[in-house]
Amino acid sequence: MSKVVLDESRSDESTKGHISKILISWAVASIIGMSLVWFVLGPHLPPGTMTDQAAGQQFDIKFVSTLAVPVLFFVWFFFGYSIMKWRVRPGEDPLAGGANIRGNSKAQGTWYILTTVIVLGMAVYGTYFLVVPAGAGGGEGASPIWTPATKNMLQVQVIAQQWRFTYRWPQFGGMETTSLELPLNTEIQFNVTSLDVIHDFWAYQLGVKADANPDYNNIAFAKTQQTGRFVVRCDELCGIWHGAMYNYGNVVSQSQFQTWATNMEKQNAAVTKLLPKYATTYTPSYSGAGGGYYNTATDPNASL
Amino acid sequence: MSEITEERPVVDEEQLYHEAALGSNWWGARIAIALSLTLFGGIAFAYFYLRSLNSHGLWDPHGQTASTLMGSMILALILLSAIVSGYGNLKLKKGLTLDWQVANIFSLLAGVFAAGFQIWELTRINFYPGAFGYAGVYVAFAPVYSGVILLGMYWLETLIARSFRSNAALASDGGLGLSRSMKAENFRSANEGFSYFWNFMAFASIVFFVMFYVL
Amino acid sequence: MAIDFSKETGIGSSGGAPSGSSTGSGKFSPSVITGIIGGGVGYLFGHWLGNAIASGYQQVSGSGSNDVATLLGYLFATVGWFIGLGALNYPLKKMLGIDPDFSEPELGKGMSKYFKYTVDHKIVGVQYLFGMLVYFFTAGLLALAIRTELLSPTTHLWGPDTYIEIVGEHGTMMMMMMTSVILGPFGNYMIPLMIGSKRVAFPRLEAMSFWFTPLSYFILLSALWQGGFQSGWTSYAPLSLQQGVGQDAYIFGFGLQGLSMVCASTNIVATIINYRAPGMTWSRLPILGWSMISLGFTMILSIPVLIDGLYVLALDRSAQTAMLYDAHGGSSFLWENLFWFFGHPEVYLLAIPGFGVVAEIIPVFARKPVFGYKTSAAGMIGLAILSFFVWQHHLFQSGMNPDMRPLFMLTTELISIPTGFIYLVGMGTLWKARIRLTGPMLFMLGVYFNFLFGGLTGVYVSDVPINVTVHGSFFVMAHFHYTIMGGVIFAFFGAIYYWTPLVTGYQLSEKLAKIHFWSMIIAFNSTFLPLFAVGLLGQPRRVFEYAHRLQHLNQWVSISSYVLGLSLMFFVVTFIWQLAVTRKPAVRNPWGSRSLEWAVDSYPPPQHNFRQVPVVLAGPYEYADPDALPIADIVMENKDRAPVGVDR
Ligand SMILES: [Cu+2]
Repeated sequence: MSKVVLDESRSDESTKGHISKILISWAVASIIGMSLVWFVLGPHLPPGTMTDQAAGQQFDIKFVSTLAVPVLFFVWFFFGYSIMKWRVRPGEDPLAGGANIRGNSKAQGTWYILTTVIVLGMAVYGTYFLVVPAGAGGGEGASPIWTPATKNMLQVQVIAQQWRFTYRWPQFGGMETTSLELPLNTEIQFNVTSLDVIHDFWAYQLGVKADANPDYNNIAFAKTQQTGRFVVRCDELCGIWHGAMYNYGNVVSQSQFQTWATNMEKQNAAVTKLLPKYATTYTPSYSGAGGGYYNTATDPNASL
Repeated sequence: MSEITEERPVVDEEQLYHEAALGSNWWGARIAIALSLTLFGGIAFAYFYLRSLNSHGLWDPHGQTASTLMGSMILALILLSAIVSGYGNLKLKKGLTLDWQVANIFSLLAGVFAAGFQIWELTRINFYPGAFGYAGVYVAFAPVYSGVILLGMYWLETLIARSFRSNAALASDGGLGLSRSMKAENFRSANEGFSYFWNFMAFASIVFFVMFYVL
Repeated sequence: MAIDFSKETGIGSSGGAPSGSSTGSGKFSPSVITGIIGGGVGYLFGHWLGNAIASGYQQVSGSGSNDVATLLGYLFATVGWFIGLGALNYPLKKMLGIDPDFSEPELGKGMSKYFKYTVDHKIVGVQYLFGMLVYFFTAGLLALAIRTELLSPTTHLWGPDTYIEIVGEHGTMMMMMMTSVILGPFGNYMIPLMIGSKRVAFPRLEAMSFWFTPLSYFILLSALWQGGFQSGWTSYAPLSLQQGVGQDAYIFGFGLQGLSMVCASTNIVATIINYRAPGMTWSRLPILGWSMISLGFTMILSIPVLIDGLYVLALDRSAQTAMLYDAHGGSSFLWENLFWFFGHPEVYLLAIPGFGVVAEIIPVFARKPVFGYKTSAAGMIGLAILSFFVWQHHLFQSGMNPDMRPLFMLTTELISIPTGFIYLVGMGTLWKARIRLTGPMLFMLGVYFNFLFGGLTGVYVSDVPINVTVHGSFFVMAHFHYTIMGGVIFAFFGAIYYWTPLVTGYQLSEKLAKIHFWSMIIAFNSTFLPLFAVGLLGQPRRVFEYAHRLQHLNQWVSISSYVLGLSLMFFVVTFIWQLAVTRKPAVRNPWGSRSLEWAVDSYPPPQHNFRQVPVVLAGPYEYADPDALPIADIVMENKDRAPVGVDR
């Protein structure tokens, strides 16, 4: 290699000028960007505010998005500035060296401290908003350690199987329905389980997501605060018809819900009798998916 | 295009690559240990995970195990093999190549028998593979265990064959154990690598014996 | 075949005296043809054997096919394939007591050597390069098939079974090849040159690692005409227990790829540690070397767990154990844990080599030493270590160990720190630099641009409350495509443009490289940026039906993906055209790099790399130090032609 020629201008340049140019434009852009995200985009961010958990997630997404703006802009502005400013122009020696900088303890130290603080802050933030809203709508396993304050909860069992969801209502005689109606302003405990493979109960607008595992009860909480329709989708690949495993539910007023539930209980009474006793999990029998989901007295496979 | 500058220090390439090969022997053996450790670690994880979950009370409802007698025999063979092989290495350090060869042939046989017994034991279990949790993990463990033992024994066999092939040529120089020749040094480093691996396997055997027959 | 008992090949026979007894001589000349014959015979034998010993376990009675037969078929196909390739000759000869043989048979001029089991690391690198491109384009076409289905929320191009099989094939194939996409072609080819070595530590393991990949490719693809597997690349039990024999192809293909990775990383780790030229101290090791060594150790400690998981699944499917089946004392959580214990390090295995390439190439075009050399090495090692402690973040909503979620959230977010190091290094290196925006450099800057989205959205997915919304949605899918395709694949193409002159001796057109880059990065972002929105708006992954209101976004994405496909086709056509037809000879050291790989006598490098082992005198990044010594006692000259990519 021929001897290195240095472009002396690089080493002589003042650092301060460059940094202040980057920082000022970055700060201005960030403030604008952050306000846009927080005030304009924020209220429209998913998953909406149908439950306290959905609203919590919306707030978290808004918060993180707002924080992401300055990080994104800092990298963009830095790269953009460097590329524009320090490009080799036509006619210059292409192989001349830049400033011989191997590192900068101040810049590196600031970077380490700053990223560590941000990251630890994010972890604390995430933990707080996981613990305080009782699991933030996510599946909390069979014995949740973070629970809502109220003990007076509507119990809804979500039973997933290939490829549909059904719901059982222990407070309404253990009836099983194919539709999901929920009362307004009520804390709901979803008990999610599966009869065959792993599914995932994702009630998008409710901000609830919990894997439906066979032989396992996965509990999630949410408190409704708006009426309306919501979609339930399976969110864990469960076979051929995974893509078609969805249905819809409604949050309705408490009186409407009472009417619906008592009607359903009456309508279903004959079927409910055939169902196995309400339990947190149901074991499929040898004979295949869902085969054991019947009372032993009437189960043709019971002797297996 | 390229030329060599004058003040080039003398590099003895043969020596350089000899030492690199010794280093690779060292690292190759340690990587083999790391790989086996993670491989067995995954099985041990499965064991303890299923044991702690005890789904439907079906980890091992009747306390059944594979034949303890056979298990003890396999463990004894492996330990014997490792000890005798280690004894052979002590002899090799004193230059007694023949002792090393005899000890390691014995060690090889013991290892092969252990692997064979492990397969035999697997065919003699008195439960179905899917009957309960323990059954499954045991059925998973046995082929991996005997397979790794057999790979180790392949390794040992190549060393023994090497010792027979080259010892005569090195006899004037003190034999494989003491010769300063590159060939002997390479052999010794490969042998050292194997013995670390084999000691690791002896240790793993004890751990899995406790898991499958004692706990 | 004849084995020469008399030959005593000493360890010292460096420089490759032709070895008479090595593979490729005599009447039996192994190549890919004999490998295929061996594999075919092996498959038929294994399949017959499996049916003979386990005919009672047919999934569909009378079908003549069962899991035991399929798995044994693949097993014997593997053995037959390696016998046919001649890969087992040496291990068998070792049983007769030969000393290690480092000689490399002299290679001929023609193309046939690329279709044989050879121990030259440069041949293996080229084999890998083309092998990985085939892999990548096959899986890429599958991706286009997925996007075509998603043009409409309701009308279906394929049945739901075919659709989900394509999704699973695409995912598995991509995840399998991505681990090797830098290590295979560039790690194997460049690392020995960069560290000034004439050879690698375990040439046969390295060759073996490549020859696993065509086999795993065909086995995995064979699933498609055996009913496929409808369980995706994650293949969660018990769904994977329900599947037909296509699932066995997944198990075996993935397992072989795992073995390939283990072989490759064992070799690369031992090579970097032991075969550095005199003077190539740890503080002078090129960053790519640091990334390869972190990658190697991570693979060694995680791949065996994947193999365990696949093995457990295979046993449950064939030997009728019940380790993944709750009702018989197993647990479906076991698979999730084993799989992700590998699966999470895996995704960093993809990122680390990408970062290594970036940090390697940027200083060349910035004419500055890499900023914070130790920071960048520490970043890769930090990524590698932390990657072992984050696997349950894939399982935040699974209900498994819910109390551990804050811990895994913390470890996951900690990963941002070493990832940030990579940005610090890149930004510091560009500071007061002299930047040449050549084709390779554009790709490196593209990595930074794309990975930024991947990294920032990584904070979203690691935050448990947000994870409730985005888990399993297109948001996550867009996130990891930004890190993997936006990161590793951009680094891969940049590396191709950067090193092709060295590897082939032909210069690639800068203009075409730039057309490729700009079309690819625009189409890539146009494809994946809207998918964040699609996911946030509620579309789960792996579905063929979605909400009508998302149709326009999905159509936009699908059409962008076709443009992305065209851009990649543009690469294929121009790349092959330039190598086969225009063949513009490369100038010496076209980019003005200091690194040792460019100091070889000719492009492509001669068989044994260096005439003499170089003595390293300085680090590879001293672009701005007028007093720096040359990197080694080999003088590199580039006076004959101007470096490429500059207007003088
Ligand atoms: Cu489902």
